Amino acid sequence: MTPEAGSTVVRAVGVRKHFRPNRGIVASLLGGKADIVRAVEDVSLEIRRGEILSLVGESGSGKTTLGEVLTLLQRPTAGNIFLDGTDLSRLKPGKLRSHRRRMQVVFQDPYQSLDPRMTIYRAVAEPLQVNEHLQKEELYTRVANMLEGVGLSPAEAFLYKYPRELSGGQRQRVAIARALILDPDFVVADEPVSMLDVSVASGILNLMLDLRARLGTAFLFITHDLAVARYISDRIAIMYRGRIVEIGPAVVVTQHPIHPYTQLLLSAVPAIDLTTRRERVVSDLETADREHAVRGCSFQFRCPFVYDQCRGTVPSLLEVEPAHSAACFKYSAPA
Amino acid sequence: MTLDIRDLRLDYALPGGLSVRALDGVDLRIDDDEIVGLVGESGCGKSTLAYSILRVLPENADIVEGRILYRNRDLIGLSEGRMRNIRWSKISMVFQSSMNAFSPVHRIVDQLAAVHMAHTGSDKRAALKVAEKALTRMGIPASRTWSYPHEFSGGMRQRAAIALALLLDPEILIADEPTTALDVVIQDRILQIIQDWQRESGRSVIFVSHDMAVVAEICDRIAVMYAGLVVELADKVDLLKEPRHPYTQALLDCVPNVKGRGSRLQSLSGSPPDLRQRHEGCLFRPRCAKAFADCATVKPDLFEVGDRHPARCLLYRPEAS
Repeated sequence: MTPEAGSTVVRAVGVRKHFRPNRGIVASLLGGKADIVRAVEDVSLEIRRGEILSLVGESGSGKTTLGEVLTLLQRPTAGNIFLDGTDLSRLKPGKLRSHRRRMQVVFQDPYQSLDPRMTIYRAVAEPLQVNEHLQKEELYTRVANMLEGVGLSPAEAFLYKYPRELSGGQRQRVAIARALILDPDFVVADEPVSMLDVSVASGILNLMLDLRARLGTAFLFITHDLAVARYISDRIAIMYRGRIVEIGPAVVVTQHPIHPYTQLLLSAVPAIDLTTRRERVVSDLETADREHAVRGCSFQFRCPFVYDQCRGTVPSLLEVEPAHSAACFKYSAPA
Repeated sequence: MTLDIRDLRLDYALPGGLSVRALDGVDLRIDDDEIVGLVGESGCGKSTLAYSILRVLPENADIVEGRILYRNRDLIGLSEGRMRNIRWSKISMVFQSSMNAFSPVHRIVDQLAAVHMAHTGSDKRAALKVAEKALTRMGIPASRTWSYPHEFSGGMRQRAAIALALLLDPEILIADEPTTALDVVIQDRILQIIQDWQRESGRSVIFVSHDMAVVAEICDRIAVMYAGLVVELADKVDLLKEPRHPYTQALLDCVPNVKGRGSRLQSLSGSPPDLRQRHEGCLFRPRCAKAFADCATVKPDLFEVGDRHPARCLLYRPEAS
């Protein structure tokens, strides 16, 4: 890790992202108020240099939107995002541009995130060509070194290939090389291994761990898979319906979850474990599918411990034990 | 035994007269009252094997050799009409995209009832009753069985698809990645539904998955497939405790465990063999950490090691040969 390891790179304060969905033509003719989709609601978090923070949640929980807002691919509806102390959410587009190179994204599908007509060399060199004016030789050296750095070795064997000539795992390595070639401070990796076979996925996870150790990059690792999150990250944040409901050290969150939602999630994760039988937490899926909390905690319909308070007020994320927080009245209510 | 697959070889024809050998001599027996997992990575042939049992293969597939004996009748030679009597009523299937297979303009309960009427000749009233019961058995509330597919979440539609697969009380259920696109809580519910049905009915399930943890959770026996072959077959506990084939060993070392101890995961270098070509020796050899000279030339059999735990690896070749 770099000398300043541990200092905050990204800080989000009260971030919200709301969408006004397209209504059908009939609905808009009939008028009435459109529902607002609150994809991200009041999220505050910090990511430190050299840290991997996993963002875990089910589909529709808002984890991808949060990743896009943190890298300013989408502007937040409210709240602030600081990169090394600079508030990016307030910058004009022109000013923001100069900061973009410091934040990069690796997407889920390496079959779609690379231009099929670009050679690997061009794909990885492009960010450098846009941002730095390098001599041809230096450009070549940087790209070749980067490819070797992500395990595409020897680089000469890959430089002039096209994405279609590479396997899924190799393509994802190219996508990582492209994201890291500008030496960013912060990388959002959105489900980067969920389309890959396990024998390939584990190699990508190890690569990210190695790169983090070598370059000190901060990662937000978005995943639906708690086992992957546990393996790769220092801390895990659990997201439910746009809010972070629990955040803490990866080992603690997966071994001693405190939020009822995290407990439900963990009780449903299959594991290769011949010694202990999982205890299933029962939850009412049908209600959960339909009900949207108008007021109070959004988990109230599935939660086995609902208090009166939960129906009226949204619990805020509070530290329950050192470095481990949960948004649940179980830990703050007088009960 | 319910199903006995013997030496099944299947090619997919490619443009230009080429072909891919997707199954290269699969032997597998499915007994009554068990869940057998077929596990392996993409392209290993696990889905092809599942589809070939029901003969719902793409047009370019060609079963070159082998037999699929269902209660001592070979399904491969069966006429399409005879096959139709077996398909769904005796052997049915649920797959990853089943939840998207419902017609959007008909109520789910009507679609189930239509299948029941077509197969059993029941009248509409009786069929609707059966359909409703099948849906509520999957945990879908009675008040919602008259919904249209778009009114269901993905998890509910997949449960309706399982209800449809179990509607005619089949002897074998083939489940091909039935939970792959679903969230973990819903996945867990669906695994439980399949397991409960199997335990209560004493029927057989063939469960196809890429996910070792899911297979470990639900299956009694596990068949590991690689490059169109079953490379190891054993009771779940034996296979997980003492994997024999180097591929199974490597695969298990690649899977992160949510209760894991934090040791570094392994990964496999190289890629699976190009099945358009014929290969000498063991297909896993180029990626195998334990390969020795013979592996390049001798094709390993599925060597029985005496305790119902065969492995297709020369390490287990009997001394005499």
